[in-house]
Amino acid sequence: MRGQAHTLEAIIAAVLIIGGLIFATQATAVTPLSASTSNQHIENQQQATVDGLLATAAENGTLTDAVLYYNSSSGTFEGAPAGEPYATAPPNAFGTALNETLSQRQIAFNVDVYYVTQAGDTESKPMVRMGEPSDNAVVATRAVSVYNSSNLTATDDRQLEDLGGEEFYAPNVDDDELYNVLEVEVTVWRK
Amino acid sequence: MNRTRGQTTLDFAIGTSVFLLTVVFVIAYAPTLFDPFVGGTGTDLLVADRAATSLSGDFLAASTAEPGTLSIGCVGTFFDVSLDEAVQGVGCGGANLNSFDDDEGFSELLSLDGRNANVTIHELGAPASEPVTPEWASDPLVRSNDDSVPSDVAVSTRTVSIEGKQYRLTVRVW
Repeated sequence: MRGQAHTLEAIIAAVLIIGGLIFATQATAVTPLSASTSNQHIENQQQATVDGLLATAAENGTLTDAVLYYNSSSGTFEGAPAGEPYATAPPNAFGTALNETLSQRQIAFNVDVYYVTQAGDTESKPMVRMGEPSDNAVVATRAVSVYNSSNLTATDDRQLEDLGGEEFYAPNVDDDELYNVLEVEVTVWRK
Repeated sequence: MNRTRGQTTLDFAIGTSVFLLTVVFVIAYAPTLFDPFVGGTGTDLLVADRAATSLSGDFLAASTAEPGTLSIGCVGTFFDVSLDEAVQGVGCGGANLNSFDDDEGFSELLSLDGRNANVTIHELGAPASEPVTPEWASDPLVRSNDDSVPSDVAVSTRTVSIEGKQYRLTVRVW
């Protein structure tokens, strides 16, 4: 009897200590400022950095050049495998900026271009696909307009109005000079 | 061994080791519970973020409608560099950055409240320790109220463009 009592006493004491620890764990909250790789501050910084990247790329024209860097015969962006998006940053000025800002800091990104269809719906054309975003991914978007007189920037440099129906991923949705409004969406997350 | 005492010694050994293992586990585990809360860099992060936002979107911006696009005149005034002749005379509209040209003004402009900060503009691919010296500026684009940057700092970054070229603006607060 006394033997079992010693063992039982030890186990009860252990349960009490563990119980106290569990209670303390439940009582403390993990706040947005708690340190971890999914820190809210890091997400904010990534979002602000990519927002600035898109804003500055739109300002110096490299963003428009990147959405027009299209090869109509392979049905995708120039230099990407036929029918597929790029697996890394695009080989143009926008891609260089993405590389220097994100890839070199071990941040992965997907780039999608949303466009308006004839029916008024929105569809997307993937430009860069690096994988499935994590739960802590952040998104930044920027709209750029392309016009009938905009030239493709790849080896094919025809104007958009000279292209046949299916030769560019976005259709011409406006009777006037405007061709389509493209929304570039960048999704970033830590690798 | 006394017949009436059975296996008391063995039971006691098992009981004690169970108890001691628990105590050791708790002592090893408990301090890690508080790791997220030590350091107290929480407010520094907010200060760094606010400073980066106001610099890129307001104080240095050519227009508050286009945050990230910096005015060369404001950049020259803030970092106290002489500008090349080609871009000289470009003023800094609105914000009067001249009145914040000393360390006190720097602290007041960024609401540092006794903290130290380092503001650097560098190439997208370069580290913050290597400020850029564009061809239109006489000196590197860096400003700080304390020369030595410790390793434990709160960092905030923005992508900005000056004269159509993209740079990274990094604010470090400690």
